[in-house]
Amino acid sequence: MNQTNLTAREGIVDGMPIFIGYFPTAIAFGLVCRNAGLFLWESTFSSLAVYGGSSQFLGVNLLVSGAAILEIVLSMALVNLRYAFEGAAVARKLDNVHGLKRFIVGFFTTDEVFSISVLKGKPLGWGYMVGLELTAYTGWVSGTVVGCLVGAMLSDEWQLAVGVTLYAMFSAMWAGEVRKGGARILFVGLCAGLANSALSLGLHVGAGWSFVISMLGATFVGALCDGRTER
Amino acid sequence: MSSFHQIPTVVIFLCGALATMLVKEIPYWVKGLDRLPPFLVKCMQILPIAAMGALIFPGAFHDYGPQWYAGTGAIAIAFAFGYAKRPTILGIVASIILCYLLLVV
Repeated sequence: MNQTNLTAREGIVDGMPIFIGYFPTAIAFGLVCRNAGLFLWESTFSSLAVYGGSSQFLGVNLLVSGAAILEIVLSMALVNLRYAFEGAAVARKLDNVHGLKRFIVGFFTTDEVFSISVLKGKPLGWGYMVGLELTAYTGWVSGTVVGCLVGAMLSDEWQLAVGVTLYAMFSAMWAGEVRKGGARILFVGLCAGLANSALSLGLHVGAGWSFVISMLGATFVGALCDGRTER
Repeated sequence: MSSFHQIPTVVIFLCGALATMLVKEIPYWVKGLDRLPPFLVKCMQILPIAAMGALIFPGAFHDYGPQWYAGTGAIAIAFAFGYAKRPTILGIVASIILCYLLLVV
């Protein structure tokens, strides 16, 4: 017997803040895609099929840099690894969601969906998850479309300036993490940036592999430093 | 269709989508991900931070050539907005405006 009383309508209501948060960020993604020379349908396809937030920005960046397909896919998978842990937490709370429905819930898992759903004091049913996840998804895809269309109306100078969107977004996100995590977070980011700069500009390593090596190297160093700090 | 490789862009996005889907779906069908070694869990937590650093540098200044200060100034103001806990979209708008001003000056 289904004991949850979380409804699809409640899911939609809980999803609205995510929609509002996703929409402007997705506009930024649409602008990045437009600036990179992608067509509207390609950008929209990326949001429809990947639905991976920061990994989509990463994918476009590496694509434009000429990275190989393996480098792009591996980088996106690594950046999205956190979804595996978030999905594990959501999966534990699912109530009577099996087969294709379970697959669909998994596909639409994101950071924000995880944050809201795991805090609910009741089991998560299919109706609630559909309401929550589709509301968030609509915000992301529609924002992408708007961003692409807005980008098409900009002058050359403005399009060049809009090209900073990707870097600005990650800089703002990094700052938020630094505020919470302190000097260690700043150190990890700077390590990765320095390594990527040295590898790509100094040693002329390909953009994709340079990114992967820098990211993994800084991650390892950061985790080691964190362990030593705790001891 | 745009193309940055011999492989169509949409195929690359499709491969990225499949990789992302795999990562998202595994925990719904396989148990035990919450019992990984602590060091590995710590790495998973730190990895997105490292990704941000590698994404920002060197692109933020290298992409603008001799006007490297345009990109650098833009990420600096975005960082300030983020640190001050202002909405991300405001930081992005401010950085775009600053970048434009530094490019046209």
